[in-house]
Amino acid sequence: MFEARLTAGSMLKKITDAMKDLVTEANFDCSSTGISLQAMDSSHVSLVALLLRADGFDHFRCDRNLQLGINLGSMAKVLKCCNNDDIVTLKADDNADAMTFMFENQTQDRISDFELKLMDIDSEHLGIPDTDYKAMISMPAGEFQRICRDLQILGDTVTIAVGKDGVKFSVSGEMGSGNMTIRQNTSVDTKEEEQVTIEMEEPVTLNFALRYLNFFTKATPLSGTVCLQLSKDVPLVVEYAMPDLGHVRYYLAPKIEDEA
Amino acid sequence: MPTEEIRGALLSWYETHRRRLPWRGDSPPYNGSTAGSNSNKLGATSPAVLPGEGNTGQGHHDATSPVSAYGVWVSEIMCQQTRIEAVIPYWLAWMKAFPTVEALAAASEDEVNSRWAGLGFYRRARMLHDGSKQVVEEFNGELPQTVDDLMRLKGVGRYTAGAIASIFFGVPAPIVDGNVLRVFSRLCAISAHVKEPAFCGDGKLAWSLAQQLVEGSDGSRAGELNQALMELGATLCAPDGSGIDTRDPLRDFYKSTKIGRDALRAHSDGALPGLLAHAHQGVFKCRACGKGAPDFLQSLQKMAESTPQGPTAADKVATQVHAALPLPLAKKAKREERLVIAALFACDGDKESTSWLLVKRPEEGLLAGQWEFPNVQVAMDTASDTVDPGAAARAAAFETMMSDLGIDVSSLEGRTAVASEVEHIFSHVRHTMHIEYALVLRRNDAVEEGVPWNCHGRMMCWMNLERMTEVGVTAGVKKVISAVHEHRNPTAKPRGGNKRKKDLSVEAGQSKLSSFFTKKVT
Repeated sequence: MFEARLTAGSMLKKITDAMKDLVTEANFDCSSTGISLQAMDSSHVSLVALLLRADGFDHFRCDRNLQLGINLGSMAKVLKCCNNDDIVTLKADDNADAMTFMFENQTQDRISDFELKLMDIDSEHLGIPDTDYKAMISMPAGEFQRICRDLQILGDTVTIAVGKDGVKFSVSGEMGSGNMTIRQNTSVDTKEEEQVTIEMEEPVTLNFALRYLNFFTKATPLSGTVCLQLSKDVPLVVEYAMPDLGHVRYYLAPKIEDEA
Repeated sequence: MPTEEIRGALLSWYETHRRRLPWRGDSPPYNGSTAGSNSNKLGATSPAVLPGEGNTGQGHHDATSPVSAYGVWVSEIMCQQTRIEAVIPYWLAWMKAFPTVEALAAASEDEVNSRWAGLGFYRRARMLHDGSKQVVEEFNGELPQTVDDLMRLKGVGRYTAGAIASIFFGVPAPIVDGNVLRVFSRLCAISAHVKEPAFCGDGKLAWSLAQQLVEGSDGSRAGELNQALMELGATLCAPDGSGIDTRDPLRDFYKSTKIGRDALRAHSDGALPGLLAHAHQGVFKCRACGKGAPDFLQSLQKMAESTPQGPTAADKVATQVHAALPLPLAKKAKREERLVIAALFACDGDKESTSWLLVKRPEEGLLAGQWEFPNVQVAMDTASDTVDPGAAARAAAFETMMSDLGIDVSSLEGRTAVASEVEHIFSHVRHTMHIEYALVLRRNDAVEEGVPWNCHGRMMCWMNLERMTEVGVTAGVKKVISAVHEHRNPTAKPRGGNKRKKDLSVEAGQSKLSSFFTKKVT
């Protein structure tokens, strides 16, 4: 028996929206410690990892480890029927072929429940090695979203260069080229959610496909800040932390420049 | 027509530039493609491969099959109306399944059909099958060596007979196909279209020209000459051939390009009207109709007049005239047919054994004797697009069809119409299909899966996918099945299905996560 209750139903909506464009279907792995999910996009270039801790829910029960295969597009559709301030309860029996979504409004005078059929999804789980990243940037999530969106106008590939004077996002295409530089900004009169911190052990420069980054920024509503981690020749990590609940993390393989 | 010079040019070109094809006894890799043979890009020419050269260094996949009269026959039948690159895998599989005439004659109709499935024009497979039985019964299992005897075989006409006789037995028999017609039309400036009886008819102009060529030099190397002629027509003398390409062995012999240059010269001398008025006296004389066809002369005048003077003008007009031959056929509109398809399936518990109700088409006409979904035509038009009669009319047609098949509509479960139309195009007919699918609950228990039964004079059968592969269903049936699957379960597409792949195609230089993260064994 699996049962999880979340007062902030809108969170579940935002989480689903943050993943559904990148992966169409995924397995939710439920255990007594919480819910986790790992899935790659169809081209195996990027990966999304979700963690929702048991103690982040108002009520959480999972007697046996369960793997719930869900089509995220369908889940998003079901969640459209959930108002932002509804309380959501997820339920599944141990051998269930469907997951139940129950939505209750604050005054508990309207209750709706939906059943979503489960799917058998053969997913490849990747072991992600512990990496000592050479650069870590934390910045307002909205700012990162804007950068990715704006730079895509000019080209497909962004070069992220972390140096001592800041982080430079640059792009060049047929039309022209552009750069956006973000500097550390931790003065006391900056609001916390507008702060930019850059921790760098050594300079890093890597290229990434903007298309995937723009998929990642669908998670912007989840968190005020986003954290980027980079090291030479390893995938970039983009993390949206949800305080007290967990995180959505994305990994993106870099583009390797032609030798020629 | 300077026979000997043309023969020499063709044969020496063929020796160095012929395509590598399995039925010519070549080993892989094969290059059946004709694409790009007329593009001007460097490297578009396929490298000359001398026979035997390809064997060095790649002995590990030396799958050469010996050249046989039977193999040539199969290849000729398969290549009718079909691109060579599409034929190669079918030919290899066919020769593996039926290595000899005897093996083919002994095979069942279903086996033969399944090997042909996907190639289209299924009548060819039946003719080949019937012909192989004839060879076994009437000719002791040996293919006859003369054109006349070969023509007694089912499905073998003058062309195929000539091809087998010349290619395998070295008989100097002429062969004429569309490619050869084009070469002759340009070589001799025959301003006719390829369906003109005086040009392509049996024993008419094209055949006598082909005979003249193949019988030159005492008829030696007849097979190579015929193949050279056809191959030139498929490559450098394809419809987009320029006629002035330096790689073209016949470029000095084309009358088409000469006419173009003559007309341009006459135009600059102001003598064009006179030349055109007395076309039957000059080089313009068409050997098919005795004079230049009016349409051709008109377009010739336009080409000569509209080309601006300049150093390349002569080449331009020459190429234009070359491309204008043979004359284009009057476009025949495709017949449009709108069909309602009944895709009825029955499940036995698990999804794997879904079987579908198929009926056999009549033994005559389009797709003769092939299995298909029950269907009914709701609209037909020879000129323009058919009009959709509307959902209600389609549903009514479906119900009539069901009662014809003896199926109670009320016994169908989950009857659904696929919203989008599915199109399937044949050479002369276009089918627009509206698919309705439903689960049949009470299956007639007297009927076993895979066993056909007779219903009002038509054979019907429940078939699962396995059985369908055995009997070989047409591409149209497969299209319907995948449309139904798609509609029932939009996400149950094959992993990495086309659509998604398109969305996230991997660009050059993009690395994959698997180069960084290792797969976890669970």
